[in-house]
Amino acid sequence: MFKHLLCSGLALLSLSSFAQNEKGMQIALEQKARNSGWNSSYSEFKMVLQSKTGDKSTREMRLKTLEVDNDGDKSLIVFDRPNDVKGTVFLNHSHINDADEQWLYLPALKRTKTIASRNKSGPFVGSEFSFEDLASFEVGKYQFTYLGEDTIADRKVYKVEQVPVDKFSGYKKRIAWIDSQRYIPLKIEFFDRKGSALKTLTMTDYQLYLDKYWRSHHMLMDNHQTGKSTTLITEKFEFNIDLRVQDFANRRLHKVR
Amino acid sequence: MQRKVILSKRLLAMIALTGDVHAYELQGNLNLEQRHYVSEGEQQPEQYEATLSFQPELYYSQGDLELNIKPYARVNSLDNSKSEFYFKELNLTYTADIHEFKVGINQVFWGVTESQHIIDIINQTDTLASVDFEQKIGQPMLQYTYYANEGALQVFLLTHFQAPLYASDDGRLRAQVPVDPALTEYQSSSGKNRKDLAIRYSSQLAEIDYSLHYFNGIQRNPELQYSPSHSALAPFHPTIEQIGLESQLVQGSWLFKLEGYHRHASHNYTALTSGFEYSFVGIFDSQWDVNAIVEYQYDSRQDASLAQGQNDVFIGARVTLNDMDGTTALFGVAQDLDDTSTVSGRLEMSSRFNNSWRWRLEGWMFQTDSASEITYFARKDDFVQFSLEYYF
Repeated sequence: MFKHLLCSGLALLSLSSFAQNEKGMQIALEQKARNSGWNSSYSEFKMVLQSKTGDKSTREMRLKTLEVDNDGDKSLIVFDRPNDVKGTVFLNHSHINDADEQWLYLPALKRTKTIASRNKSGPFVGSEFSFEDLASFEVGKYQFTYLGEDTIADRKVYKVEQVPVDKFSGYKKRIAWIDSQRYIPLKIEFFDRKGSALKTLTMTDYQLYLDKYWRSHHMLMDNHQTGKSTTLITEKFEFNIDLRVQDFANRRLHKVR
Repeated sequence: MQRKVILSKRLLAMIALTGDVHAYELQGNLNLEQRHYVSEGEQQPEQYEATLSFQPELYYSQGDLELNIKPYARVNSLDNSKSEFYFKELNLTYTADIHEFKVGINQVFWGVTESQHIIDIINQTDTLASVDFEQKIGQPMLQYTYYANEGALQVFLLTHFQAPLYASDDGRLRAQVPVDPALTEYQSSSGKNRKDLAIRYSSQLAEIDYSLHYFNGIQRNPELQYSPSHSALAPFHPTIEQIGLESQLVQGSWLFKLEGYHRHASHNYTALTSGFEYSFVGIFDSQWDVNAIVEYQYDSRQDASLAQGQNDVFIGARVTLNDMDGTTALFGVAQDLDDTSTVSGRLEMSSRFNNSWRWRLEGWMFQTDSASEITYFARKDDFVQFSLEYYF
């Protein structure tokens, strides 16, 4: 009798966890589906790095992105500020199952350097954003668990746990608050490899493009362990740019402006 | 003459056809270096020198045409022949989809390794600008590039050879006897006007990135021969033919590298550099990234007076602090495996004051007991250097 109860209890438990996984996955799929088909985009943004004591430093850059079907996006970042890195180009070919491929073009030496690709957990240009925080959201990169409903700024949101599949991720897990109507993240909490709360990303000033795609123009990343923060402010977004795969070729990086 | 006129007419027509899409950029830097030698030199006792250098860069594009102008000028307090002006770039590029044509003075980098760049043969190295061999003098050329889906083919016609720069009697970090550039001789009857040819193909084989090249031209670095009548060293540039290879493989945190060439000259010989780079991300739970570099340098001539890395090992590390000021540090030691007394080392650290200013601290040491070593003349030229760099 007791054994029976235990068995059905376990079955119920796994059933409910299965349902939670299923719902978490459905939210992720919907999120990805609604943010697909934009083809290419161009944006100009700045990152304001702030230290614990309030010192600030600004980076300015331009981002070109090409959507790739059934794989991660290709993206190019051109640096404009600080002046000593002006003209430096960072190229990323993101992949769902394989490691990302990355290159750096150094204009002073006219040299394109290949970067060992496991640095995804490292900080991007000294900011609180890591390389993987800036990579495109791909369903295949995580295992999902639905954690319930919540409210942010009077909006009904789904709380979803995202556990990275890649063992080289800098995170044990992420918890994302997804807007239940627009299917966009409003907040993401990051937990380090030991499971401690590490960072919180708050995304605001969402604007609609092509009647379909929401883009946040203000992203604030707070690091709870160091007291530092980075604000990523997007000043310009454009879609349907004339970009082709060749524009993202590592052998053509010296041509990027 | 008539051909020139037709050509320039075509050029004008091309400019007219490209329409209104144009852009321009101006940037550059101004550097002040202060160098202190640890001891009095073998050839020159002066222990301090300062260098001021200026390098603006103008880029202009209109449609498919691009113009790059990058002059470089420096003045030195110790050695007049170190004060110099040349163009790193002064070229026009025309791009038509997968074809790229370039004419003018340009700078081209070949290679994958970090400790030395033995196959980087297109440009002359400005050895007076820095001892790391990273500064290049612009090379006049006609360049054509074909971009294939998974590769690129480049053909270079190098029209005017750029001779190396040499320190004068007043300079430090030079051979016992100074080099007299007026005594320069070439194997080719055309001298420095010989038209050199270079071809390079880059592609990918499975996960390996590789490039193959062929070079037929004037050897960039000279053979130095003592001229008793002039009491100076006379540079001689042989004509060489070489084939070379670069390859690189990424495996997680590992980057495996190999580059080398086989050269056909008065004697045939082979040189290569091979090793790896391993990246530690967030070392010791910090924000720091550390890239460890280990490379082996080989030259079949086995003659230390001709090749620095004939059987040497380089061990180094690049540290990126990932802080707000973009602080980086680099250190490395090259050890001769045939002669334990021959070691050279470098330490470099650099960081930002603000958006426009950076500082850089460098230290170099050269050690050898062996008079036949190429670095023997520099054994008392260890130095520390502090630079202020302004970028705009």
